[in-house]
Amino acid sequence: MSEQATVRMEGVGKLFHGVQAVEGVDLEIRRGEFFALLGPSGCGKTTLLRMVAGFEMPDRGSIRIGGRDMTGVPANERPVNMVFQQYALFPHLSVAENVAFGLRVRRTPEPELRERVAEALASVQLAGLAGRMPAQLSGGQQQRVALARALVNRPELLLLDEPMAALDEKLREDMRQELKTLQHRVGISFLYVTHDQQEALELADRIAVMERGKVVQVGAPQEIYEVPQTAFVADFVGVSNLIPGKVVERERLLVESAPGASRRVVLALDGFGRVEAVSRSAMETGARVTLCLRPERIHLAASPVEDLVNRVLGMVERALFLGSEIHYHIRLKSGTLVRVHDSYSPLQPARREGESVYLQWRAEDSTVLTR
Amino acid sequence: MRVPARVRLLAPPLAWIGVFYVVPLLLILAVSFVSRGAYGGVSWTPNWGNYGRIFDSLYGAVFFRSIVLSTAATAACALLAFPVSWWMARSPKRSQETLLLLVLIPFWTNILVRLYAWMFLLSGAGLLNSALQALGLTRGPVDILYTRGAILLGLLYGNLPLMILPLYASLERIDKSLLEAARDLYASPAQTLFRVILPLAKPGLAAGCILVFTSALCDFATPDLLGGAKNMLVGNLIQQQYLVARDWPFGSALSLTQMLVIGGGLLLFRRLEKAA
Repeated sequence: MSEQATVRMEGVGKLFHGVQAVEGVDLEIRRGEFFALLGPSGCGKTTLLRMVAGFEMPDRGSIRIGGRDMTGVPANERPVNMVFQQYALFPHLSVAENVAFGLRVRRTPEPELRERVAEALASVQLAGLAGRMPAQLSGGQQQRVALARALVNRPELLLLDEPMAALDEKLREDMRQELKTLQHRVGISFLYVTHDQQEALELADRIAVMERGKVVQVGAPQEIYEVPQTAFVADFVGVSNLIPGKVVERERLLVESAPGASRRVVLALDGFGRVEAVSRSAMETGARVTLCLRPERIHLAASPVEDLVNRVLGMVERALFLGSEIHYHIRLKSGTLVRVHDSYSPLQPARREGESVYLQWRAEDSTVLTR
Repeated sequence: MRVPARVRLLAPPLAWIGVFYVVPLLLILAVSFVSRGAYGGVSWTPNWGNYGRIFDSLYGAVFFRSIVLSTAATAACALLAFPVSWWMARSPKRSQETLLLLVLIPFWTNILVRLYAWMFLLSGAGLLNSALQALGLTRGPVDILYTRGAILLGLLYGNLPLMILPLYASLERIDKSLLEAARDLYASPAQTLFRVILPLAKPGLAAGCILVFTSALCDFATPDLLGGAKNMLVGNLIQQQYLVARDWPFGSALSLTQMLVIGGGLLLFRRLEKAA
């Protein structure tokens, strides 16, 4: 394979019952990459996945897999395999026969088939259950069978359609770890569809966030989290305080040489007053912007701290104890509600409801969004 | 004395089956071993010859013909019902109810009326022959009615819903994602049919085959009206022995033999099904 990309999508669009389900998607999935498509239900991520699998055909644009144009190529001739949301194991076949399905269809010689099935089952820790029927397995085991059934064919790309959705929370955490390890071991590119931002952040090398059929941002998890490009991304990935306002003052360039040089700006935020922030793009005085302020970046203190330039007084309305963290809802004098996440330690007592506190943060702790 | 709940629940149906099924069956068994009365009816003198007569070449041929025609009707029903059931099962949920209703509507009309309609279609001066002649395909009328082909057509027509309903029920339960999974694992549409759909449809197909075969073998109206006198099946033969020849002992022997044939057929079928 000469190309570096496993999948290359160019201008992919799909109309569903008159609704633009997917629109102008350009994406590239690199060799060996764990790539997540993240978005709320109905954003088109599953449709996009199904177009890669060959279950739906795009109305416009092209999808290339391993350098080969997939236009008009039916699902059974594509070098991809899928893990379905409800696993879709064949109920009339044993675990081993489910895993062997693809190899049998391709008429793999029996000794090789047996060896590869055993190997695939071992790789998902199911060696002992080869003879069981799918109905006799737990949800977690079914998912492993689905993984083995796909990976045994050594596809160029593994497609996963919300594979954790049918599992309970505890199992989900274990499976995430396993999935990541497995992906490193087999070195196959994964295209993982999820609406769970935590899953995407934890698993993916890169994430594409989708909103109403379009990809709104592509980047590494930290980049998506730290530098969201739109209010939608900031809100969907992690928890954010999104505060509207406008630019009142543009100040000196901070880092001139860096790409996307940062500028210090002063904003007038609704309900907050004057706030200093850092902007990566040039913006005009008077422009409407939204400030994204992550709850864990806000420092709470009974008295002002010197080097935190932004400061606003509020009152604890609610304190939610979550074990390692405490989540506060803090009401400002203006009536605006701000969410603050603080780590919990028994040495430092939690703020009580009704208590007055200073919310403080540095200019670099927030992101200015123009969209 | 306290009666266990299981017994109390089972008692009414057991009594019903006992009085109206087991007792009459035992009576038939008894009658099959006695002689025919001089003016019909039963004379209670032992007679072991009733079963021997069945192996008479004449009656043997009737049995053979019945088994062949019922098997052919079953196979034809399965072949015809499968695509129909599949299409019904894959239709939008709302239209499925309507389609089911359409399958059932013929059942609301008496079978005799429907068979007379077939006679009208198939007879020498019937619609089919008129059409064939009008198109210049045949010169004179062709014998269609009163042939084995007509019986087969009638058995196929009358029993098709018995195949469609169980087949539809099992096809409808096949999740769409299973078909996609098969395609994803390189199976062509034909391979998907043989490796996934047919194995999953097996219970419905088996139930349909049993229903159609049993119903076809016991049918006497269809062979009587569409087959005429020379194409007698077991059903007609039994009916004739009871009602026309008034030879109840022989009729009883035939009935029990027919039951054995059906039982044997089902056993054979189960074997085949397990082997497949």
